[in-house]
Amino acid sequence: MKKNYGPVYSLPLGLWITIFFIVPTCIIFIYSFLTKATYGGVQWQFSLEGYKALANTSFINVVWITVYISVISTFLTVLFAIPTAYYIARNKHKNQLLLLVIIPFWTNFLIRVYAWIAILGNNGFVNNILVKLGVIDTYIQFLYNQYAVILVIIYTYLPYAILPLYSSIEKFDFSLLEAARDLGATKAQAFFKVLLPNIKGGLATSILFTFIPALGSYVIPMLVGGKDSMMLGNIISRELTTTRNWPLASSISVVLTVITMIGVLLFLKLNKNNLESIKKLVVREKAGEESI
Amino acid sequence: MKGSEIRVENVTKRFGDFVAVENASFEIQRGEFFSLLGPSGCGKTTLLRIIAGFEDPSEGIIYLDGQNLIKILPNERPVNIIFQNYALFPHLSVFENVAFSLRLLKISESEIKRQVEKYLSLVKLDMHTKKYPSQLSGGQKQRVAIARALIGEPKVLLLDEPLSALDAKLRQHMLIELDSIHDEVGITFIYVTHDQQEALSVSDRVAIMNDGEVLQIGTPHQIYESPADSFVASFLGETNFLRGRVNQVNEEYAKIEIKELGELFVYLDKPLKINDVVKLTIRPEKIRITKQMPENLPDKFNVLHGRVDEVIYSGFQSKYFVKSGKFSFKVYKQHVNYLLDETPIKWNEDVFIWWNVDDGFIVEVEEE
Amino acid sequence: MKEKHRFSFTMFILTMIFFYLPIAVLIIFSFNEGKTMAWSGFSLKWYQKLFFESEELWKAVFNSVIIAIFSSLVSTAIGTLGAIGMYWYRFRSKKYIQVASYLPLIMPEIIMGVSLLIFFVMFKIPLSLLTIFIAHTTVSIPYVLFIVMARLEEFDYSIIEAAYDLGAKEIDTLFKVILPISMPGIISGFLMAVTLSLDDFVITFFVSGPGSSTLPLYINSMIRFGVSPIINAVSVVLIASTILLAVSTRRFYKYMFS
Repeated sequence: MKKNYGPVYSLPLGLWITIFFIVPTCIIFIYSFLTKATYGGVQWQFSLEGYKALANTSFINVVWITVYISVISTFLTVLFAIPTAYYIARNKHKNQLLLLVIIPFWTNFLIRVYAWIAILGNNGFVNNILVKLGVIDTYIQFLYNQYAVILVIIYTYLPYAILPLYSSIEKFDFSLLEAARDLGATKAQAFFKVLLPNIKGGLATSILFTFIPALGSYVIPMLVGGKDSMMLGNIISRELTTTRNWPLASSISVVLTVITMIGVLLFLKLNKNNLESIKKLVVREKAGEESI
Repeated sequence: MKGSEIRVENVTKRFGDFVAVENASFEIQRGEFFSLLGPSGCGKTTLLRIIAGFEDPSEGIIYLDGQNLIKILPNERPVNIIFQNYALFPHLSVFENVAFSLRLLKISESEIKRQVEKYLSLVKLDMHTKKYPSQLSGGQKQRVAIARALIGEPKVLLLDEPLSALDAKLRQHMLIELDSIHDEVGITFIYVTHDQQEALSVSDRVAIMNDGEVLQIGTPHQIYESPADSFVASFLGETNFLRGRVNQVNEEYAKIEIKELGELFVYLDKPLKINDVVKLTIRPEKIRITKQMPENLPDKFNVLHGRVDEVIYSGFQSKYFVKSGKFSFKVYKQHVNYLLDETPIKWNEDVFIWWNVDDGFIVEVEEE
Repeated sequence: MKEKHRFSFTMFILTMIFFYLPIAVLIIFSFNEGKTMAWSGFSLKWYQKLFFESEELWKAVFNSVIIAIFSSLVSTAIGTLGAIGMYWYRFRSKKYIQVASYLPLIMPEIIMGVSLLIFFVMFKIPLSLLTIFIAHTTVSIPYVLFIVMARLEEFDYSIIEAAYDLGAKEIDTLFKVILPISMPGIISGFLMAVTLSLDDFVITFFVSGPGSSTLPLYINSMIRFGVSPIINAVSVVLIASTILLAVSTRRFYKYMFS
């Protein structure tokens, strides 16, 4: 006779995730349909105000900026990640080189952002040098614009993009490239027609790992962004803590969640993989040390 | 005899729509070495897992010495199993692996030591007690698994393809050892395998399964010499099949007319009528092959004339494929004394093949 | 093919400069005499300030460590048991739990922060170290779950069956077989949870209350006051200690499990 202990083992997990993840997520959804109270909180009265408030150009502009910044940074990140991952995968000392990619990972996230403030800030390293060299008289404002946000997003998520690309390029049989060249393909043709289709999975994953967190950016635009780089995360925080319009904060959160899920579903469709593959990659990613 | 008798009664196991075991019923005697033999996916492992308690049957009951086993949890069944992959605990040494079941019983350290040593010497592994499974060879892992399963003194030992992970030579060797361990401990062994050689060489009795059904149960000799149907015949070793129509029946023999070949006699082990369409079988090693027409044959022989299509020499024997009419016969000839044999038979030579009528028999009858 | 390598080599070097230049600048200027990012001489005074005159900062470090330890212990326990239940058994609510535990991995951090904040306010749970602990535990559970599951995937279920077969009850099987064999996974899950907890800023930012500052929160408040050499020193100490921790973990791993 068989006994099934699965439910017993999984009970604490099920309870915890339900209470502290599923319920709060549902509450946000419900709050987005309620009426705002004066000093934060809500009145339990159905209202579509939270969503009506979204139908104005400034909000749509924020959505546009969020998606725009995310797309551009993802594109540039992957552009750098492919050759870097390729070089590491083909190198004799790939484990050591991989470690070099992972170390910045281990550095505290805020410190990584701060480093760029120290370098490009108005009193930062670069301005100081330029002034000292007499190139400029007074500082140039490098930060507090979209470019700074994109730069720091790339800096933060580049390691996330390199690792999945590395693991799929490493599995690639390089004699196929030689075969393609032998059959008359140019280098570019060999790259686009042979290498790229074979590392599709890794490519899709690294796009996902850059694009999804970029969409949810909050700290980076808060610290190095300006008026032109307010992202969804920032206005959620503003509505929650400054303006104290909780239904609006909730409805914006719902919008951000929906955009994120569209991104994930697109990935699943492109990658033809199931949730399982994301799970494995996310874990392997974060547990960087295990991939070496 | 030690050990227990097992009675499997109308056991059926379904996984969704798939029927893994269909209405299996048989008895295993006390102390018997009983094999479940069949191709992969035939349900033999499922049946074993039901006996071990890892699967519940959809229908049916299993009795151990008259006691219903089904309601008993696997950890309380007096039955132990040896897994195909051995399933040794990777974090425990050889000694601790074997001691596992005793440790659960709060037995004194000295007694545990005595018992473990006894069983490790039974499987000839007393040298490696401190090693871990990852440091052992396949054969050694196998021995640890056997000692670990036997130390709890089960009434029945279940073996799930225990030799399949070993190479061919080691397999032969372990098989002999399993047989002698069986003789020594005397308990009931239920042995699951897809390898007919293993099953035939050590079992007291064999049950042949296919597609979830038990097709035939009998001693190795019985199932080899008189297979119940064409599946059993072809699964156990090589054989030749012929189809024909009965055109004469007497007390002991039937005469079968085979198109484009001629008439053959066959031993009558089933009731046949004139005009029945039958399938008959003759094993290749029962057929003799000569260049000359055999002389002074008694009546009870079938003789055919043919031409050698192919010869495969493999040391102790040669396999000939002989074309006769539109049929190709497999014929095995042992080289008892190769040089003193007649001059070797070569490709494309005319030959005669002949066999005793008693060696061919009917496996299937399609009534007209 | 040679040229291809040259191109990828250049890109690799550029990436490395990109990665390490900011870190190098931080390290160098943590030894700067002056308060600005203009070099004015070598000094250890910022380290002295960091170690002896930053009481608030060390309080935040203490909070971070406490939260990291407790949230990692709890998330490791829940995640490990969950992995065992989800990997080897089938049951009715499994699909739900599976999906529910994937979602936090892809949910933007800020949404988790906002939803937990609203949840705590709604149920009148005062924002404190406790709420941070709950938030960090929730974030870490899926990671522990999947790391331990990855470990379990290396084993065949037959070794669990072997334990039952040899007379072990469920509790014996758990403590004598399942937990010992999953130990490498459990430990890396735990370390991961510690890392996530120590590193988390966004969620902590929303669910922390007065007096419950953690190190990332403290660093954030310092950054908002602008460039400060003390942050440089903190960064260097943090980077050095994470690398040290990572290397010693790897050593420990190699020693223990191979």
